[in-house]
Amino acid sequence: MRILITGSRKGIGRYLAEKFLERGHVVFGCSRSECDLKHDLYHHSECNVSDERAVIKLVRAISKSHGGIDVLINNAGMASMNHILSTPESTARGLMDTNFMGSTLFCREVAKLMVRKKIRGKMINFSTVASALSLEGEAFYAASKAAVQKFSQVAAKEFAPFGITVNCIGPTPVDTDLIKAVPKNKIDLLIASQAIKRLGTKEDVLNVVDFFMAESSDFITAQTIYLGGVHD
Amino acid sequence: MNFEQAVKVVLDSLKEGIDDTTEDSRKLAISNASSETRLFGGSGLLDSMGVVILLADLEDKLDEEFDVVLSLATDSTMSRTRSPFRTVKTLAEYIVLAAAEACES
Repeated sequence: MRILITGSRKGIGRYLAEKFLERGHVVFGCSRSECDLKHDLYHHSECNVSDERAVIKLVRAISKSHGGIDVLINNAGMASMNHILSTPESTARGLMDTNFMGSTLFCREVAKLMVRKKIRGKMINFSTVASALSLEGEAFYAASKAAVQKFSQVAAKEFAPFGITVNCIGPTPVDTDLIKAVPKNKIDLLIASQAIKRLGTKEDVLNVVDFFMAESSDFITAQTIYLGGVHD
Repeated sequence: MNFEQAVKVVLDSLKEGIDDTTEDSRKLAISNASSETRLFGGSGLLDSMGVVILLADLEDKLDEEFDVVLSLATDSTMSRTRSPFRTVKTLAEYIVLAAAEACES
């Protein structure tokens, strides 16, 4: 399969890229900066996911070089913990740009490609348990991811006539750079609100991604699967 | 790109999508399409889904044939009164403008 993963330089995106490469898939990755992942089947691009023109160019380049994309994994994201009263506008906009606009631009452009090439593709977007749990201190982050979920539900309906599915995964905190700045007591509180009280792992994320991208999951769309027993 | 080239791109895209059309009358209308053909709104050839598919095909062709990378989706694209997708001619005019802007930026 031809798999596009945004935010593949590190963290969960990097892990997913490495796993899919091990399985022999062609992986297209992108991040704002250079990536040291080297593999014959890996193609990296530097791209700001909220830059419409950059996204269009990236997807067009893949179309030309490889003829299409079978799976889109919108992993790129940023987090910021802050009280609403002390959140700068630039931070709020940055969260919406990267988390929401980034995911939606890639969905739109990749969907065009899938429609043109008649590919019954899979799109997997990243939400978070912070959205379902309405976590204090994560208003803008949680809102940006809630927007991704709602977008995914509508996209699932609009893309269904073309055989394209759109689903979300809502990970618990996973030990990556994304949560490095979050105080330990906050992480502990969050874990306490999960049904299964532990940090998530990259393997947990891969498990859900595998499910969504399986050929046999073509009747699964507009869904969000949260890890750890969290629910809306 | 000039107006005549843009008209040809639009007509080519329309005709390439003819296999996805099930109605015989629509197939005939597409095969006979000209620059004056109504595309969207009123008695247009395309419904909103047809416009979406044509938009994707056009962007692909513009890149492949003219090396112009752009998004034809604008606030007015889906408007029934102002949409550039009203006729082949209005769409071709819009493409010429959009392509020129894309080349400048």
